[in-house]
Amino acid sequence: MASVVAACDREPLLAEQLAERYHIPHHYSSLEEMFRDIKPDIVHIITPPKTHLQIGSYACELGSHIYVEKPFTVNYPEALQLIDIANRHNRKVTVGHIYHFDPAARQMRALVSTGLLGEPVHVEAIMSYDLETEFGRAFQYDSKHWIYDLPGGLFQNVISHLVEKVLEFLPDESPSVEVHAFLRNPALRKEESRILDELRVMLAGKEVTAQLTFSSNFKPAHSFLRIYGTKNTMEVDFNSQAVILRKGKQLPTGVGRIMTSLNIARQYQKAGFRNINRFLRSDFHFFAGMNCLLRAFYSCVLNNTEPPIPYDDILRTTRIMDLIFERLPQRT
Amino acid sequence: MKVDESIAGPDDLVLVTGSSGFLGVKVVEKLLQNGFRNLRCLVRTQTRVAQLRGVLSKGKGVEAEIMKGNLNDPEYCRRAVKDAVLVINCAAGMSGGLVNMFVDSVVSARNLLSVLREDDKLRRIVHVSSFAVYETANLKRGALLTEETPIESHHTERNDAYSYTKVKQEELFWKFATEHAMPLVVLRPGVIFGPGGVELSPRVGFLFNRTVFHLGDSNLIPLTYVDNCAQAVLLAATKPGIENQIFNIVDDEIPTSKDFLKMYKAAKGNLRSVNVPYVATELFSRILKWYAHHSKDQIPAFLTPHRVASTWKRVDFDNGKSKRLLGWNQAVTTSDALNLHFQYIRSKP
Repeated sequence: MASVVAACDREPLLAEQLAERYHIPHHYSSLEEMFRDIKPDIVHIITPPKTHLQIGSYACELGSHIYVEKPFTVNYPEALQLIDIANRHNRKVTVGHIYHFDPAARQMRALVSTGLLGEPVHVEAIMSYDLETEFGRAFQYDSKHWIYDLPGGLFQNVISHLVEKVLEFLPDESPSVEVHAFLRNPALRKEESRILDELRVMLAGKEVTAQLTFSSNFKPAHSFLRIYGTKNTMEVDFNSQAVILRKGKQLPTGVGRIMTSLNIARQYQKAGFRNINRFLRSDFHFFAGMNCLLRAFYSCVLNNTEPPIPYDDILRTTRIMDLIFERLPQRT
Repeated sequence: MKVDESIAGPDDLVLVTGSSGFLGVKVVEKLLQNGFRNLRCLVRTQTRVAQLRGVLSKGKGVEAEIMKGNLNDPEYCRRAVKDAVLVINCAAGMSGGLVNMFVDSVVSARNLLSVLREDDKLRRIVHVSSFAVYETANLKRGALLTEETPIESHHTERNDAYSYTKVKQEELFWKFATEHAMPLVVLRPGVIFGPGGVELSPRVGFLFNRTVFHLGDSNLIPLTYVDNCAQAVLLAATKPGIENQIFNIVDDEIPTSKDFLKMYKAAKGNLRSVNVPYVATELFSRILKWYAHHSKDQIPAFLTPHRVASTWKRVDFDNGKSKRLLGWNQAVTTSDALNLHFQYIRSKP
């Protein structure tokens, strides 16, 4: 049974309020002071990305395993460095790619492992992000927000979720990368909000291609993965927690076409009932993926087993993100 | 309070934070109407800045500066407070989740106070707090809420981000006032209302899909019309001899929730309402609290018994101290204020 022993934030008032609200026994505004007093087994790093390497390294050197919020680091060289330091100190690392552990993702993976899809040919991952959320408003009205210091701006804070989803099916070390990005929302064309809010990426390997779509403008909010295989196509709807298999037409003529939509409706219905069942068992939490990842990481620390996200996967994700951001148009 | 009766002169610099907010604009208007000619208005966003500019343009011979920035920027704070004689803090985080509200209310207050304590010209700080700081859940039904009513201390039980941040914000003001002998006056207004403000207070209920879920029953709603509240702010900033005082600001002859709802429905037209008895709301919150615990927050306890009691238990409100010591009297009667409020609602497309 793990317990949270301390909260640490450079802003002492924020550390204090977190500790007060969640009954955490200690709070600090200095990492050094925290480590002088206590020796946490695991440190969760939820600071701006450009501090992840520094804080992660420090924590590993002082004996803590680290859970790093996404994006893992600002770039690939930092990611390499952080993992290297963790390895040298025999500490475990993971990153907050929580959708990888979402129930729908795990269901998809189980089905894919049976060979149902055949070989992947093309993957699409779509994610939309509402800028009228807490985080969106925070950086829109603060020209000094840390997001503006990231090479990838707003995208860098979010698209690791998209990239890691598609890299599961794209084995190439160096796929070609094409990027199209622009600012669509006129309300964001203001001095203090220097962001782009629409991103389209094409990754092309030898045998598999992938398309990533990130949008701050289309509704409703999407979080979707579609895998086109040589046998069948699979869709993972993370919002409705449904995994839908699109098989080829199995009956001839128009009857086959009618049955296709009924088949998909039946699958959504089945997914709906499965979700109701999970809800009734109190197993339908919004951050179910995070719960799963946390349990897996804590277990690997306790039992000294392999971390839940292989380090190669973390590095590949970061490298592809670097390639994407290098191709972004200059923001004005 | 005219400028010749006050602790500050017409050319003394008055700093107003949150000056483009619903109350802030009115405070600026009152200052101008009462002869203050040297104003520095802090704004964070473009919302209502046009309205603020309109108010400032009516002042004759006025030196007014609108400073755009963020109080979380220490350099901005330093520039903002320079030479300020009176400081009126209307700035608060009203939305965006607890952390954003905390940063906008508490961290920014700390930044402001940290530079203000070095300001040797400072003669008064007024902090606009709120009734949300009071712990009303433990009061008996029908009890009188006064400035002596205890401050909320059961934040986990209440689960109310706005209440939490306003308590912490006010605590900070008192901490600085005590430790650095800063001349502070705190106002705690009830529900500030008027044209352009929130149409329907949660103390009355919630509008969903053209139906108002009426939770306020026959409770009194602690309304204060925005002009009346701004007048109280002006007095708090300028009246001699009231340092370290707290004043509740609530108008006289306040309506019950039932009466307010009746007027609201008449103004909006084509609205239904469903009365939700207090007992039912309380029971629902207990079930929700149990369920949140049992399901490990599959549905979090967004409404707790403590919050229900804090918001919808019937209490009465006292404004005697603000009349006696502050010399405050509402210039706009409650009846006229309500007419103006609902006239504005009727005029909206």
